[in-house]
Amino acid sequence: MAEANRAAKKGKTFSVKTMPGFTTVAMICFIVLYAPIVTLVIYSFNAGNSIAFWEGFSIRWYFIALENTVVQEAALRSLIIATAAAAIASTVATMAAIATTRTRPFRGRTAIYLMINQPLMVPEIVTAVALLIFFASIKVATGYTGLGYLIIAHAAFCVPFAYLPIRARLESMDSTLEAAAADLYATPWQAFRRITLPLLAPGIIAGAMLAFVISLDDVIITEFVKSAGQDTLPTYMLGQLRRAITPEVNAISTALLVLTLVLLSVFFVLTRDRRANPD
Amino acid sequence: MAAQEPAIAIEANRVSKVFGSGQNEVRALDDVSVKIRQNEFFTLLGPSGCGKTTLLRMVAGFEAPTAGTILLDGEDITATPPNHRPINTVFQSYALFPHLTVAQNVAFGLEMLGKPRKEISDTVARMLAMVRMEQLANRTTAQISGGQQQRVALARALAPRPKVLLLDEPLSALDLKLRKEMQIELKRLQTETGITFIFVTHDQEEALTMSDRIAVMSAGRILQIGSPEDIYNRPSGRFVASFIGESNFFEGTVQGVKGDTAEIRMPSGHVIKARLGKGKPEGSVTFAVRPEHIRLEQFGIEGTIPAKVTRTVYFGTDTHCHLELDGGERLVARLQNTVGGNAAYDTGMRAGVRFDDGAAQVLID
Repeated sequence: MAEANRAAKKGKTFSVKTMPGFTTVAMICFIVLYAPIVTLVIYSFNAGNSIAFWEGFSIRWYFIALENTVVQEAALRSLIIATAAAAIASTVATMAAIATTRTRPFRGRTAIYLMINQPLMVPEIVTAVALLIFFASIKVATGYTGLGYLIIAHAAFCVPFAYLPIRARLESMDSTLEAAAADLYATPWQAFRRITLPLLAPGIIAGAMLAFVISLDDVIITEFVKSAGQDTLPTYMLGQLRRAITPEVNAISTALLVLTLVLLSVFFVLTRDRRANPD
Repeated sequence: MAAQEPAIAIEANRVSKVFGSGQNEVRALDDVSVKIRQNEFFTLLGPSGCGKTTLLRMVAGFEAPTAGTILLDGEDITATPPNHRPINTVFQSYALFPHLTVAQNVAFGLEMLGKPRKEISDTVARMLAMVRMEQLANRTTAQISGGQQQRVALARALAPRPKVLLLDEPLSALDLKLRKEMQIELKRLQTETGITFIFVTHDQEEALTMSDRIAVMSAGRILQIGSPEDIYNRPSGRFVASFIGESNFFEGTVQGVKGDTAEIRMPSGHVIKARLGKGKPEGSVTFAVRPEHIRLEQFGIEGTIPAKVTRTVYFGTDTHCHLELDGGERLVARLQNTVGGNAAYDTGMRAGVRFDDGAAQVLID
């Protein structure tokens, strides 16, 4: 601490450039992170049947994937589940965020905060097994085997991902605005509808997108909860890996990657906007 | 109640507010009672933390008193939520809705009251004209300056024609020149609309220039209520005398009381006449004299108190002359500068100090 102060006084600040080997370590980390993804994307354009030997450029695997009805169904299922889960999760998260930021501190508020964020802390495999057992008994009792289980399971673990950006937005929002609305004769519902909700919208959209992305690539919980014939894209791909592997999987992965990148870019634009225009 | 008694708009009746509990207990308001008249420009003046904003927030309905009641036109509104009180607020931060235009901001209250469309657009146009913002009606609030935001906040709060308008330090974010303009503007709006204004500030000059009456607050209590002249010329205690304007304080012993004047012997042996506030003081008392109510004469003139000039500070319009009396007391006299300057008294010179008639005020502490 004292040394740092002395360095600051001399006008020198800590610089990573002076650390020996730092650049090398950083480069290795980036290579390990991105080289496999780059390879995956490259081989999705392979003309041959292998994911290891390059035989020329082609986009035929994209067409093969598109024309594969099993892939089509899995993709549609993934989108339905992700959309429904994102919608439910962002609604629940919005209500939870308001309850945890716009109320007077009450006993157990921290406990509630932890409970909302449970899926971030409890190992996913535990939740998966728990849901499997829980839903199995409901299936026996009701006979219902539709997508509802998957939607509910996804919505549940997506809540914290939607909750965090919404809560951040709410906390940065001046609560005097809601007081001003009440002062100007707005009922609590009108104040929410006309003032809080429009100002919160970027946070809610960002939260919904994050939830969508998280739901889209979930494997573990889906694998445990799904009924027969309810493969989503990720579980379909997992199933493919057990058989002969072709660049079709690479093509589907690349498509998912692009979709995710687009959604995350929008997410970052929305959340950065919040800091640029502090309300 | 006498027939001449002016009608009361807002009454706080023995209001207390306690935040926290146990060791963290903070008594923001301590048994405060005040009656604010209709069509009055009433100011709550005090340093930060004196409870003035808490009292305002209670009148608005954002805060519930721990004890006591708030009355509007004689009706108990203590438990009425803010959206059911015909009282509007101009917030310190303005709290304009950032996603709405200037005109939409002003229209908000009228829309919530369910007024017809035509009436809303007419009122909004009239309000914007009144605060001279009609040119910028379609701007968003991020596109206008601080002074303009202030005007929009005023128009928005006045548009629903509230019975009482609350202003929470609305000028504190403005620069000096704009602040002076808005002081005049606020007073004009109050006179034009005839609405009761309750204004909260820690700035004594704002309070003196705009108010019909001022309540000086400190540590959760109201110390004195009165017109600006009352408060300035007849402060009840040491806090009021030093918080509003500047004062010199002296100790002395009461020798005799005649009507509302007391003869007080100072430690130097000189006897001066001082006005009495409430009560009949005896023995040792404190009295205050404003720096501008002190005259300097030549040393040795009959009836003056001998003193030595220790320092002079030039202030443009006047010169502050720091003096030490022969009794050891220190004081500041403010001497008006004239065309010829004011070099008559310089550091180290001897002079005679004379208090203007009625300049000395006995304080009750």
